[in-house]
Amino acid sequence: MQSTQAKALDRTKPVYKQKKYNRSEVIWGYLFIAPSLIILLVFNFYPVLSGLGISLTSWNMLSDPKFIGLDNYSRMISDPIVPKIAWNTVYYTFLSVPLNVIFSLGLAMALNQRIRGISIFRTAYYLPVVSASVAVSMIWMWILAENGILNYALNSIGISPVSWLGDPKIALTSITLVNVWKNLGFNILIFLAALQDVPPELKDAAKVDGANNVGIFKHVTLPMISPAILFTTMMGIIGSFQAFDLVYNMTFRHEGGPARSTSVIGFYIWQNAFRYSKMGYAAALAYALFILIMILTLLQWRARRYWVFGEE
Amino acid sequence: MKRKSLSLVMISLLVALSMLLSACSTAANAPANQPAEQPAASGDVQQPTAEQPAEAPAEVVEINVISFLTYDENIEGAEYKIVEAFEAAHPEIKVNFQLLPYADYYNSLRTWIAGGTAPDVASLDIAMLQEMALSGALADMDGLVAEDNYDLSIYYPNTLTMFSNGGTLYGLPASFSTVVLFYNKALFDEAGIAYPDDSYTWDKMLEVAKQLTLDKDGDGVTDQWGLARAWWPLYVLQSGVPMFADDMTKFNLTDPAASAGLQAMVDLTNVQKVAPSVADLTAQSDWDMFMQNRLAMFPLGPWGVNPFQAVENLEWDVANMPPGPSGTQATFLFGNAYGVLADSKQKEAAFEFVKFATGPEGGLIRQQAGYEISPVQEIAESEYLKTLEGKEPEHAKIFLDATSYAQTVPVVKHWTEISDLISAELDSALLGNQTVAEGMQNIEQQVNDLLMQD
Repeated sequence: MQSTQAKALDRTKPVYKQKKYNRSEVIWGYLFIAPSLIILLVFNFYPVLSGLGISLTSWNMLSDPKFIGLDNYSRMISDPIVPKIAWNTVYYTFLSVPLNVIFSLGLAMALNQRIRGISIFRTAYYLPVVSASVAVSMIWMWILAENGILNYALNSIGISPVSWLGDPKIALTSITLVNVWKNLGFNILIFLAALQDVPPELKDAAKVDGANNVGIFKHVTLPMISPAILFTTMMGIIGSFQAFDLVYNMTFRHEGGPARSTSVIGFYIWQNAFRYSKMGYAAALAYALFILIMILTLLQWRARRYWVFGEE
Repeated sequence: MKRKSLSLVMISLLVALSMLLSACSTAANAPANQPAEQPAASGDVQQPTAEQPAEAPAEVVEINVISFLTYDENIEGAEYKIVEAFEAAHPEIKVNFQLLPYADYYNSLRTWIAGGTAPDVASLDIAMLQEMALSGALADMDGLVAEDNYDLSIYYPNTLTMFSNGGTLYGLPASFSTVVLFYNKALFDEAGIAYPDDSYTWDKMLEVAKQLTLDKDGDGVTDQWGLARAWWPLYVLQSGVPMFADDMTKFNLTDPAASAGLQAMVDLTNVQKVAPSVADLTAQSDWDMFMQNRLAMFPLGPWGVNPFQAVENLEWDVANMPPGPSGTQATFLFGNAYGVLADSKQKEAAFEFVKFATGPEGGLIRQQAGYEISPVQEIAESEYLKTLEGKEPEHAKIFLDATSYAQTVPVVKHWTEISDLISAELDSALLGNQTVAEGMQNIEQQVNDLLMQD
């Protein structure tokens, strides 16, 4: 008589390595995950692996792929457009992620109150996240136009109009800020949950020890929500490096922005694949991006023991 | 316990069934011969459902045809009528026809080719046809023409050269267009200026444009523009300098005469300030500006005729494209063709369709619907002007007259990428950050590399 709960669990090994399952449970388990697993394998893993294969070829979709080895990768290194693209992507990421985290944390703290109607505000902040990015792009293009509402409002207080999307020096910043606005709600949700998990006893104890609000925030709240901050930062970086939809929709004629100032790498990959018919080069760019994101993510993961509470 | 697990099983079965049902209902719609809902061009392969007509002849051959003609101009009924007329005239051939918007058409076509489910016939514009011809994706039209003894003299000759590559013909022209000068009669009347005519030189056009660029409410922002900038190759054609030299292997825009031509375009916005800038155009396209009486002169082709006719408070007409600063008169010659794909298993039937759709029968239907201009000479000369009688533009004949000085833009390998490089430099010049000559020198090496690239 082997009951799975009867044996005491050995706390030094993961639970799933200790329980004894009977055969039929195992088979049912695999059967249940089979549909999702098959979909994942066919529509996710297989394309990703073929992408690696494609990156070693030159293929314009009309004729058969031609094997050229690592030529695409060496072309990437000597392509004069790549440094510009890389800089744009890095700028985009390192502007949007900190802004996103800081603003959504601030807003989450403001929304973490038990006042009537707070759910209306929470919904309002989450709406942009679920809005179609095309709709968001169109509305912001209209607002940020030379003769759009923003310039009109600035004009009425005496500031001369700015070409938010036409000036190569600020076009990328404008699109980045729209992206921050769009994704605030998602992180607000995560931070709200994390904030509500901070035990009030800790805050009380800190107050007793003489801490003021700032002190409580710095020494109690922040460390307690640091796992959430790690999560949003990591996901933010991964997402921002792959940004495509807003940039694509907000650039004029899909040429990469005024003088390529808003071309980020996601956009350049699309251009090479679907406008220039260079599937191989686009795949190589995509893999380079993948490796870059992988390295950054690993770095963040390793660094977590230095600042994330509970992961030392 | 038993009842609970039974209801759980029932619910899971219901959920699974409903998912299956929804999957079945999105199955392929039969590409029927009426304007049905077209699925988004996402690479979905449409399996043709074989609808056999009641009295089917012994051997019915099926061909798959895709096209973008007439779709964006909202006169797609015309192309469907052509397919119906073809099937009536050829009961032994069944056409599975799909009409797509132009925007993602080429991506869809290439995806289908890559996936091995390419159609037999596809409509193609010049750039698409040239790229596919170079990659061997198109069947040799010369061979099919010779086998059939088809008479090519019914077409305007330069519409055939547009669709040849290396001396071989790859498509038959279904339509062509020339770019001329559209102008807003009301704005000219308001300013008391005579309408554009054949006496216009570049300088006269500039002078008139300056008079028609106005800040009507005195707020420092231009409300009305005199002239829109055309697509940049026009200014190269007008300079008389070829874009690529040495048999298409050398970038030639560093030639001073060519960059002077492009600089003249840039100066329209930066120096003479008669043309809207890129930022202005992002706020409102030149098309919308013209429709809202905010633009006096607009280089455009016959695809603007139907949409502009539909706008109520818009009085407009067309004039010949004035010469460029160097005195050469030139304009764009565009066109669309039908081609047979190399992997087609039904080349003869496909060719029959191409002949019908591009020849007098198809040309007539399309022309009467008002789509561009038919390349079949007799149809263009008789029908095109007839369909426009009594409607704007009054001088529609100008579209046909322009064929005497219209040229095609040279299409080389990697044209899109080269064109994007040139556009980016021109954008910089338009922002005042550099001269055109500097810009062309910046990219000279890259373009030459691309021309040599596989």
